[in-house]
Amino acid sequence: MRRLINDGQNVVNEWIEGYTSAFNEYVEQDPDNPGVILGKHIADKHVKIIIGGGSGHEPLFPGYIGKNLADASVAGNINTSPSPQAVYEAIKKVDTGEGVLMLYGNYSGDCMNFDMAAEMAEDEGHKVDSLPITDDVFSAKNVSDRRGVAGDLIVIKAAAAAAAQGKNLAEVKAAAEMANRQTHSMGMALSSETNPLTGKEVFTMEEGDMEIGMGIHGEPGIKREKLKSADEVVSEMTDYILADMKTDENTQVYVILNGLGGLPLMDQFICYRKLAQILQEHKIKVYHALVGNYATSMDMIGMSITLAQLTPELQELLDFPCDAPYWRV
Amino acid sequence: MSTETPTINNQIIQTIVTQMAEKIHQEKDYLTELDSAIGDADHGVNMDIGFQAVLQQLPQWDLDQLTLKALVKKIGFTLLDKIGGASGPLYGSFFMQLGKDLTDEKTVDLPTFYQMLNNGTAAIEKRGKVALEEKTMFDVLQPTVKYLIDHEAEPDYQQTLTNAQKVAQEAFDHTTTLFPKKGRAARLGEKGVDKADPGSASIKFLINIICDTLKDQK
Repeated sequence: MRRLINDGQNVVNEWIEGYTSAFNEYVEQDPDNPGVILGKHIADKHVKIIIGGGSGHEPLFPGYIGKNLADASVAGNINTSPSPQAVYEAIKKVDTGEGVLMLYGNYSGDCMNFDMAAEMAEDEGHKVDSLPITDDVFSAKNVSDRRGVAGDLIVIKAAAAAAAQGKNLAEVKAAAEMANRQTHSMGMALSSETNPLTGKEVFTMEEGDMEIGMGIHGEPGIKREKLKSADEVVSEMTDYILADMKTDENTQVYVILNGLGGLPLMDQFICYRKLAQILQEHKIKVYHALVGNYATSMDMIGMSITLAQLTPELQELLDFPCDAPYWRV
Repeated sequence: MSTETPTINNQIIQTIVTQMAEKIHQEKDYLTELDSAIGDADHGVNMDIGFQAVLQQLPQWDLDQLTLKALVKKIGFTLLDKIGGASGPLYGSFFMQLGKDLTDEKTVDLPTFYQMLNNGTAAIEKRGKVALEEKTMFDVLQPTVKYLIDHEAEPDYQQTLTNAQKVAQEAFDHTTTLFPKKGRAARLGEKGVDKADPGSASIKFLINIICDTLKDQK
């Protein structure tokens, strides 16, 4: 295992301690619930956004807690949803009476745990709603079965901007659903990630192989094949994503070229170069681009491409000022 | 053949979860290996965290005072809180809902216990939004519990329990042939056929432990 850690049993608590210590002007670790990270701004009165999921995707999720972004995140064990109790405690801490929208990737464990937390909180009189994010175009034909990957960022940003603007819970949820509909992603990987608890790779991948369409936890993609050039890989992925969108000469996109943790930034820029060329050939205008490690899979070597097709409303929400350790507008 | 059927109390529940914790701990790598072929390689790890937490909590619970309903709820809540992922809500709901129809009982007879298992099974069905033939733990649990309830009046209850273990084994073998339709495995499609489902493997351990424990009671 090539990971710089202490006892594997303690990685979740230790990364959260480190994160909340580094960014203590933005966040604090809930002293009662070690997996819960609370924004320092949660006294602000508006609909609150809680995000979360398994650990191993840093800086997702707490990197996007900040002013006019998410209000709290809840972390589970490695690639494992947090428990309903932890999510419920986060709801109690952040709700100022306007209600809470919970955003998480569409994985069965996350859906079950967040649903149970919502039921517990509703019994106590909290207004809670949730949206499982479904941006990964290759993960299923049926959109509601798709999983959530780096497109999480777009949905979190849009919902949090709507909340900060004083919209009510139903309006904030509508903004999140709109952003989710407009967001299309696809990933690829050249390696597994290492689970620091077991010290083992989560799945096996031979050196020199790759898999396009692979999910952020190593869910299978199109097929295992020999590594191709960056230009070929990006072309193939972009074809899939564009086939899932309805674009015309007025289309503008917000782009995230996201590294999964083990891919050098140099390679990410080389991939972005080709992506920008392809979008230009399709007469699609890049409104704004983010390149870097935004939603990772620990040491997995790979990347994902996210295209959020802008509507005037989505553009306005994405442009709304925000300040979090990993996203400032 | 024993004619007197056992009475289920907190001590029997304690024996069952203690043996389950030991079994999960022994089989941690096996379960994780199954999960690595079909899911995300952590079923054994997370189940072990959950059941070890129950083992640690058990001595602090006053088994003489607690009702059966309160005990299974505590076990379920601990599993829910510590396992996480999909297995936390599923195993947690199973145990928490075992006592759904109980009030202040400290003992129940065998048919009532089978009905408790049925409530737990229904909780998994509801929480996992799962149906039969979707390659999940429900495919193993449902027919086994149904067999027990259908045969609750049979005079040789020990034979019934042995037969139920066979039902569970056959159901488990059948799940390995199924096309996965739930959870991360569903994304595998055809590649998931001929692989065992880790949740089906762990629930089979639990069924076997429950049946063996009940057979040992005289």
